[in-house]
Amino acid sequence: MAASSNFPSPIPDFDAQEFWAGCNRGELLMQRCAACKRFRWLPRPMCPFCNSLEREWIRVSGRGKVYTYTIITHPVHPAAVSRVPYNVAQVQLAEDPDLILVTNLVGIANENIRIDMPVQVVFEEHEPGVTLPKFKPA
Amino acid sequence: METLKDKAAIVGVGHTEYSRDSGRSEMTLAVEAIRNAVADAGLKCSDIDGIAKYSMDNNDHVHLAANLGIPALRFFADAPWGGGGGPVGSVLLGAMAVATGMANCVVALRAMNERSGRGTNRFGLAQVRAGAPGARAYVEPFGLFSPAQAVALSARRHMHLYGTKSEHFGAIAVACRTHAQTNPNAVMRGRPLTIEDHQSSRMIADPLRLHDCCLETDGGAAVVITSAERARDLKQKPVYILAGAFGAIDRNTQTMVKFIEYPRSESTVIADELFARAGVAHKDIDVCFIYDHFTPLVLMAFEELGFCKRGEGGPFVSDGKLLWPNGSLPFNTSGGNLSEGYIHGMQNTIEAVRQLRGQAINQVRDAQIALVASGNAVPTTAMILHR
Repeated sequence: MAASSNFPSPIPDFDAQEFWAGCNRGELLMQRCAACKRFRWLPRPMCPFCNSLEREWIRVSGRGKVYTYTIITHPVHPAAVSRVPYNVAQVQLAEDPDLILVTNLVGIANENIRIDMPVQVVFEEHEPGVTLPKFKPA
Repeated sequence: METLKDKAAIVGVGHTEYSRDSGRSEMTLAVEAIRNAVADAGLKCSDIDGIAKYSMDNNDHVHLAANLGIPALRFFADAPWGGGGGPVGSVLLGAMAVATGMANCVVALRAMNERSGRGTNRFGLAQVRAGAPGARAYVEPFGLFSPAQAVALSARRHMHLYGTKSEHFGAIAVACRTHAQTNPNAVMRGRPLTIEDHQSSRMIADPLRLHDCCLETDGGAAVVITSAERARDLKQKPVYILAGAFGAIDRNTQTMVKFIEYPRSESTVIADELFARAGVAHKDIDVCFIYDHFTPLVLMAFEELGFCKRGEGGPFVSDGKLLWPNGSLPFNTSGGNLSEGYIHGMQNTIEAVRQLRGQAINQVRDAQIALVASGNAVPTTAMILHR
């Protein structure tokens, strides 16, 4: 597929392979420190709270709430031209207030989106072999 | 404690015209701006022995030296993070170099063809690529590309928490545009703006409207820094660096997506140090320059720098205090990134110097102390200047 016809796919970071592999299996995995058990996002090798390098990937509930959102009306990417207006949101996961993901809300009209609305993860194929975590009203 | 206080001064400022298409190379813009700044100081290009530029600047230190005829380049540095590190951090790097004897005379620089695309990609457009690397992997697949789109998320959260309104953002745009009307170098001279115009401008990424976003511009801007001792013998009245600060936190994701409720921000880290080092209070600032990439981030910068409480930025910016000549805290008096031209904030640093010399077009009466803050929502820098 031409790069201009779809939004780019993620290039999985070495320290975030598990996250993207989890998405492809339909599981939302968040990185947690194996020593102090605190979650962190974005994925990274070291725990900023205790500096441990030991980490684990925890399957979370996929429940959360809309932290904030925007409706994009001015396309800045060729693939956006046919999609505007589209929403981009941040969703705060139920497990930890520090877990705030950038995503899209699906199954809801843009004008009905509200901050604090409860949402649930769903997985959408972005292109063959690449799945993205999106959220729908819970 | 040893500080930078009054050890270094800005002695020369220079720039090119600001336009939508310069018609020449970025190196040409750079050396024109530097030559103008050096002449303003009463120096020769060969007197420069240090170059501190934005890391994003495409011009190389050695190629600059080869154009300028610098026989011994004793200091070279890059200020990272674009409009966060650049407009002040490059000046502070130069100040630290001259204060420690590493160099005698440093030029801080930004030159780019950001609007025409002649060398630099427009920041407001996505780079089309098959894969999104690094932190971009977590935003671009969802259609979040430009800084404006990221800032829209933060702006909406601020509105939700504090009742901030689009009109509050508009007050910042109107102040900059009003100040640009008397500035012959301003891209937006002759195109005044009202709050009604702001409110009717097209939506870019709701709640951000067109007039909440800075310009995209071709041009070059440079300032010359030397030791306070040498500064006294030069052509212009020296503008001394009273204090400077760098600030970053552990939550930045390189995409300008801000975590609004987090108690610390890049700007709060700076505020903690800057005023203490300078030995002045907020009320002592006669004129202020806040990097104006997007109006909501200016509003948040006033809060995070301690000019008002968190959440009170809307009313703070909307009561007329930012407007020259009658406001109590004139802001971006040459028009800023929003209306003078987007030279990545370096033009704000130049205007601060002119204010303290008494050479500004919209001259603040008896301006003695100025604050210059680089861009909010990325690792950032700020300084307090005095005459």
